[in-house]
Order: sequence, then structure tokens, then C-alpha cells
Amino acid sequence: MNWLQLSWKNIISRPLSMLLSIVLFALGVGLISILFLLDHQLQQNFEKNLAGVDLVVGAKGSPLQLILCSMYHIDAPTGNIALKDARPFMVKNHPLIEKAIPLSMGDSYKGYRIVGTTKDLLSLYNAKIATGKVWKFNFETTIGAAVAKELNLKIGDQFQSSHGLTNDEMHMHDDVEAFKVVGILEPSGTVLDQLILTTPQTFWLIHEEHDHDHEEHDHDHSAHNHDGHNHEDHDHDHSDHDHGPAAPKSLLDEDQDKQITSLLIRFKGRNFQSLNMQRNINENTDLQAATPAIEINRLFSLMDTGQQALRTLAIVIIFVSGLSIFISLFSSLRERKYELALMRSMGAKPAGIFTLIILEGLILASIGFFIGILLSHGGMQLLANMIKDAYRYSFTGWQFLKEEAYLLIGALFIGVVAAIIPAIQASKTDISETLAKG
Amino acid sequence: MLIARDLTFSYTGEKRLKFPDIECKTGEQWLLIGQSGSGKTTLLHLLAGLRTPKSGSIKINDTVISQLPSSALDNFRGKNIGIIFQQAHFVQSLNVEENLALAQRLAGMKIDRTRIRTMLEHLNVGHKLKSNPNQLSAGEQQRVAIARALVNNPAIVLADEPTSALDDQNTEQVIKLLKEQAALTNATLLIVTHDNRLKSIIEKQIEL
Repeated sequence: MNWLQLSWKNIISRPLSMLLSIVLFALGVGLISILFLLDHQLQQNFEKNLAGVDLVVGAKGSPLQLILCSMYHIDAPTGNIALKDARPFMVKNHPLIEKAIPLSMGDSYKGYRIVGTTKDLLSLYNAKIATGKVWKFNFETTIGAAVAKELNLKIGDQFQSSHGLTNDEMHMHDDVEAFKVVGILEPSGTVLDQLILTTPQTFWLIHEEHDHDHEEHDHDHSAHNHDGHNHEDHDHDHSDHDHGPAAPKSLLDEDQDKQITSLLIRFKGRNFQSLNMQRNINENTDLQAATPAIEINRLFSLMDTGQQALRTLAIVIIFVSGLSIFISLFSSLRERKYELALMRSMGAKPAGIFTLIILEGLILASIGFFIGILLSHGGMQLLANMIKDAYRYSFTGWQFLKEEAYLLIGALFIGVVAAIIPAIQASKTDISETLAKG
Repeated sequence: MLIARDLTFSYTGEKRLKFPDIECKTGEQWLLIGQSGSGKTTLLHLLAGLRTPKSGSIKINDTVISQLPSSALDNFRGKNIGIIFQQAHFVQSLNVEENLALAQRLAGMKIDRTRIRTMLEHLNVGHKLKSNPNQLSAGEQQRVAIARALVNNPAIVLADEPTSALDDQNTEQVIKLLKEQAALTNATLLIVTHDNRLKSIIEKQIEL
């Protein structure tokens, strides 16, 4: 029977009066902890996906939207840009630009976005192929690890895309040919895990008239007939060559009136000229250029205002719960005054009684803390599942941060502070007077 | 052995209480008789070291407790003095056994469960080991309180009106057990009371 055991028994013998303190404490701690978790994981997710992109060029509109759409794939495109406008950035041996990667967006499959791009995108994120190969022909896709896992897609599987970025069966492109999975990427922890990658040209084929397609189709027919293939062979070749016998041309050689959604640009070096490029684009062209790091910082500072409010609320809750611990300990002293004097009469020192009450405060705060942490991580896990369904980003409730250790220290500190006045009061109780009153 | 000489005490703003000298030899059993308001409880608290006398000295065995610093006094009290109060009070969150264990710990002793069980059995409350104190009858509570006061083999046992809340039958039984147990450990027993029922049971008496 030591002080810790005794204070524990004291608490569990009065569960109701301690409940309010614990619940309040848990709420405050839980709120702060979940804010930490969200903030940390958001930053983690955002930073991981910066991928050394210096500039995103797209249609005029909100720069944040352009970044969110092109880099994080969580917003709609600002519009499309013509190849002839994008072309200057894509020419080989550009003095400032190391890489300019075209993106075409607007279609999805079961909520996962289909992006028409070049294989340069893979090197941007250091992504590797797990099985299969990189897309080469139109309608060939290389899919992210999460897409493969969640949709249970394998090499050789085929699917129809739908127009729009949400899972909308109503707008299925069931009149065009199916996408075919030719490769699956290794998990990279980046947004690539959530994407279905194909050629930019595929988008034109889906969305434009199929005349061209038909022509080619017919052409194939005569060619093969001429070669005198038998019927089975012909059928086989037909499906094989449906989307053109050769890999699509470089975008530089395509019809310059065709459109893409945006360009991800990485500079050769950050110098005065490259920094000026953004302003030049924004002021002198119909295009818009946005810097990911700046926009993300802006987003975080926007969120920070909300977080600040919630954090303040959490601190107020914790303060109130500290007050509640103080009040419940203080009022319990009135009931336990005789009990404490009795312990003194049996040899307990004032320091012992002081310790007992402080421990009660500490235990209450610890219980509150652990329930709070449980709440926040459980809540975070729930939230993670929701975010995953809505945005395809992976969050987890089972990540623990060092901030939470500081939170524990803070919680224990509040427990001590709340208990200190009752503890002093208890240790100063006049034994004789209390016992005489009986 | 308990010796008290020239003890006086005064509460702030009240007249001074003067107490008769007391000398109890080791193992002796005494009754301190006085009417309400005569300062019985005050005297008992002085003897137990719960209060400091205005003047005079209290000596238990070889220790002058009226001169001990408070921390040493707490230690001394836990080890050497067992106190039984008018109404038996317990730490409510602990059961009977744990309350006795707490008494051992507070006195700086090791917890001795065999000793606890034996004490409770001697006082016919062995079956209440795991009970919550407030589930016991008044007589049972007072017997557990006696067990608690004696569990550390104190040199002195001080009892403040231990029978005032008990009926005749319980009074007789409780006092008999208290005497027996004090004698068993050769503890000096001093009962403060105005209960005339005790006068016939304990011969050595001091009037306040």
C-alpha cells in the first residue's frame, strides 16, 4: 500500500466526481493531438509531393487550384492550354528549363484520376516500375500501387474511364476503347500511388471525334487484307493495332491546336531569369504560372488561422479541465479531511499527504491524456479512411509524434498545478482539531 | 511507560487547561475519567503528540515526545502509539485489510498480512477482511479500529471514548478485547471516557 496505490484507489472509489475532469481533459488533449497529427501528416503529404517542381504552368485561374490540381490531384483543372502555348517550355535544350512535363486531366476510373503524361513524370518522383512496363501506346496505362491494390487491377486488365474526376458511372466513356493495364508502380508514398498514367494523346482520342480513329481502323483493314492474313490473324492484329501501330509522336510534333491541362516545370537552376519566368508568363501570356512551395505555404497559412482557433479552444478546454481537477480534489478534501488527519495520526508526514493529493492530480491528468490520445488517434484513423475515400491521400491514425510527448509533459504539469493548492491545504490540516470534531 | 508532568494547554482566546500528572507503567491499564468539556480529548491528543502542550512534558518510554521535532514525532507516533477514536474512521476507498496494511506502511513497517489476519481474528472480525469499512456495524468498526491501533505492537494505546457509540453488550465485548490485546503485546493502555460502564472494568483511574 504505497501513495500511488492509495491515490489510485481514492480516484476509482469516486469515479463519478472524477469523470467530468477526465472527460474534459481527454477532449482538450485529443483536440490538440489531432491537430498535431493532421498538420504533420498534411505537411508530410504535401512536401513529399513537391518533387522538385519549381513552376506549374496552366490556364488562368486560381494559382492554388492549379497547384492542387496539377501537383496534388485534389481539385479540378483551371482549364486547358493549347500545345502551341506550352510548346516554348517543352523545346529541347531550353536554357532555363530542365524538364517540362505535360499533364492532361479530366478523366477518372472509380475515383482514381487518369493523367495523360510522359514517362518523365516517373523520374520526377523517382518512381520505379514494380511489374510490367511504362505506358507507351495510347490507352496503355501504368497504374499507381494504391490504385492496383484498391481496385484489384492486374497487368492485362481492361477498364472504361469516366468523364470527370469523381466516381460517376453515368458518364462512362463506353463508346471508346478500353484502357489496358501494362504496368504497376512500386509504392512511393507520393501522389503517383493514386494515379493512372497514360499518354496525353489518349485524352484527345477519348474526347474528340472518332473520325481519325475510324480512318486508321479502315486503313488497317485494307493493309492486312492486302497482306493476305487469315481471318483469325486479322482479328488478332486488329485488336493489337487498334490504337495505331506506332507509339504516339512527341507532343512537339503533334497538332499544335490540341490541348493539355498543365505543365510541371523544373528549372536547371534557380537564378534571376528563372525566377522572372513566372512573372513573365503571368503578365505577358494567356497562361498562368504558379510556384508550388509558395501556394502550399499560402494554403498552410490559411489553415493555420482555423487551426489557431481550434488550438485556442483546446487550450481553454484543458484549462477548464485543470480547474475541474482542482475543484473535484478540493471538494473531496472536505469529505476526506478526517481520513487525512487519521493517516497523520498513524504516522503519515505532511509531505506524504501532499504527495498523495499531487498523485491524484497526476493520475487524473494521465488518464485524461491517454483517453485523449486514444480519441485523437482513433479519430485520425476514421478521418484517414474518409480522406482516403474522398481524396485518395493516405493518412494514418497510428503515427505518433514527439509533440505528443511534449503534450504528455504539459498534461502532467497541469495535473500538478491543479493539485498543488488542494495538496498544500491537505498537508496543513490541523490533525487534532479535525479528529476532535470527528 | 507513560509519564506526563505539569501539562497545560490553551486554545486561542480560551482559559488555560491544566491537567493532572500521569504516570502509567509499561503494561498498565488506566481509565481517565472526566465530564464533557473537561478537556479529555485535548489531553489524549497531547499524549498522542497530535498537539503540542503549552507547558509541561510528556515522556513515552525513553523519549520526551513534547520536545521532538514534528517529523520525528510523526515517525514516533506511527511506531509507538496506537490511537482509537470515539467513532471509528477509516480510509473509505480501502477495505478492512488494506486499512490495516496502510497503518503498517504509515508506521514505516513492512506489510504483514498474517499479522493483519491474526489481529482481526482475535477481535472476531476475521471474516470482514475484504469488507468495505462502512458496511460494518458500529461494534465491528470499533473492533477493526482496535485491530488497527494494535497492529504495529505500539508501546502505548490511547482510546478516546471508544465505547460511546456502542450498546452495553458491544461495550463489554469491545473493552474486554481491547484489554486482552493490549495485555498480549504488553502495551500501556489509557482509556479516556465519561462512560460509567467502564469504571467497574478498569481499576486504575484518574479523575480530570
